[in-house]
This record gives sequence, structure tokens and C-alpha cells, in this order.
Amino acid sequence: MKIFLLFFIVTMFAILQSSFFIHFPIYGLVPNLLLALVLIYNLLEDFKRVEGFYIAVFAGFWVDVFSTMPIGTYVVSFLFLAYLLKRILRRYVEFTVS
Amino acid sequence: MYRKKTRVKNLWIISLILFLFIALNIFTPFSNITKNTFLLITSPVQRILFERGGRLQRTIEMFREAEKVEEEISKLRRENIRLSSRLAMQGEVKEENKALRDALDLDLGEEKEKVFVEVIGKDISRHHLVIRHEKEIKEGDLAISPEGAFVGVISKTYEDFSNVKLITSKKSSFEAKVQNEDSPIGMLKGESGKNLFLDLLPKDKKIEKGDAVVTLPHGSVGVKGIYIGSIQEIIQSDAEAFVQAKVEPGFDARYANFLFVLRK
Repeated sequence: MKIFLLFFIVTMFAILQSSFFIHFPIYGLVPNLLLALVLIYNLLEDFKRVEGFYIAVFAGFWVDVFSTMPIGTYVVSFLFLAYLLKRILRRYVEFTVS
Repeated sequence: MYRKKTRVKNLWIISLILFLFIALNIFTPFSNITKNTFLLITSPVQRILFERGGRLQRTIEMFREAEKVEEEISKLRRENIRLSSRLAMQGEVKEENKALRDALDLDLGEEKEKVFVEVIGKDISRHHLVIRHEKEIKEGDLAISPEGAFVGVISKTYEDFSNVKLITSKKSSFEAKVQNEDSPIGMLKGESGKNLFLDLLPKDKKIEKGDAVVTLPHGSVGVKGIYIGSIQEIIQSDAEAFVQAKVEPGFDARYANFLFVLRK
């Protein structure tokens, strides 16, 4: 159920990104909402959880659908990014539990 | 032991996903069908959001540039009169040309078929528009605005959707002609923003601000006389062998809800 909810949220972000926010560039650039979502979710999520990977796959998939790149290009990139973030968090960042 | 098992499981899932996507790309039609299907599902919502976004953006811009509006209106009025007189003159010339062609028994040539398409969004790089069409179009066909200005070239087609590579994209470059007595030809390149850059213009030919830039019958475009934009700024340097010019495109992607595709 949670996976479907995540897919729905990512889909909404993707649609908004490619049709609505595309009209509002900041200094000529449109912020990549999906990339931001992948980064923030994976940064804030407990590194033992896997939802961040699902988000990366869904976000990558939608970016691929709306781009001219072959399907899989952004999926692999986002997945790699999520993996890298989790690895860095696990190895170098420690959270104190009070 | 449990941790090792989870790691192996995750590795399997990731490998499976990667394998699936690689397989999707090997069987390209399947990849195209996937894109087409998902675009078809989202297009009704996208179309509404694209239109609303454009409207909101124009309203914000209107408030921001309220002072300039009056000046712009009078400029447009003058431009309108100038264009109307030019159009009237062209009508006369057209009639003369037709009469001459009839007299010489020359073929007038068939007009290119236009396909009506709907803009539903832009890709993440903002170099491509995503359009929806009901009739079949092919890669390499030309997209023009309802006013007749050149928008871009169809770069990728699916069953119901296509991508249009905008002329303002950095990846876009083709030969274009400045429409004046000297008719200088240069290389038109996209600047990734709103403007275009016309390079390699001969120094001995006359170019003026406001001159129209049009397409040529040869090269990657292959259709002559489509209006691209007008010269905004001429960049001349003694050190350079050629003249360069900034071109303001006649098409603004923000106002594009509908386009026409010229089938080659």
C-alpha cells in the first residue's frame, strides 16, 4: 500500500514539474523537483529502510518518460544517487538517540 | 546472518530492475510503447496544468512589467500598421507572380500538409516540448506556431505523442537567411534561453536591426521561407572574420498551447 502511495506522490511531482513549474524558471533554470525529492527523502530516511530506493526508481522512471533519453537512464542515475547517499550516511554520519 | 540475507535480497531486486530497464531499451518499440502509455494516462492533467501555469506566469509578468505595457502597445500598433502595409504589398506581388506562372505554365507546387497538435508539457532539460497528435507525424517534420513562426523539429515520435526539439535548444543549429536585399546566409544556433544566435554572416553584406530571419530550402530544415525571428542585435568586431547577430525568435514557448506540424 505504501509503495502505491509513494508512486502516486512521485507521479504528482512529475506532472507538476513537466507541465506547471516549467513556466517558472529561476535565473533560466527550473528546479528539478524529482531530484530534490530523491535527495531529501534519502537524506532524512533511516539508512536501513528501502523506501528511498523506491522513490529513486519511480522518480527516475517519470523523468525518463518526459525526457528524450532512453528509459532507464535516470532510473539508474537516481538509484545510484540514493545508494551513494545511504552509504555515506551509514559510514560517516551518526545520529544520537536521546 | 539475517543482514547478509537482506543484502543479497536487495542486490537481487536492484539487479532485476537494472536488467528490466536494459531489456526495455534493447527492445526499443516496447520502450516507446511504455512512454506512450504513461504519457497518455497523464496527458489530460498535464494539458490543464500546462495551460494554467502559462496563464499564471503571464499574469505575474504583466504585473511585473506594467510600466512597459503602454510603450509596448504603441510599438505593436506601429508594427501592426507596417505589417499590414507589407501584407497588402505582398498580396499584389502574389497575384503578379501567379499571373506570370500561369503565363509561363509553371507548377505552383503543392502546399505542405499541416497537422494540428496540442502541447502538453516540456521535458526536464527544457529543450523539448511534448506534443500530442491524432494524425501520424514523422521524425524530422517541422513544428510551427499558429502564427507561422518556426518552433522546432520533431526529434522523437511515439504513437500519440512526440518530442519537438526547440530551435532555442543548444543542440539546435541550421542554416538561415536574413531577409533583405543582400540576403546574407548564416548558421543559426540555439542559446538555451530565449534568444538565438546567427553566426558566420559575411561582413560585406548589409544587416539591420529588425530584419526578418527565415529558413532555407536546403539543409536540415528543408523548407524555405518559414519565419524564425528578427535581428535584435548585431555583433561586429574587427578581429572576427564574420558578423554575428542575436535573433529574437518569433515563437515564445510560454504561450504555446497548440502548434502545427508541417509534414515533409
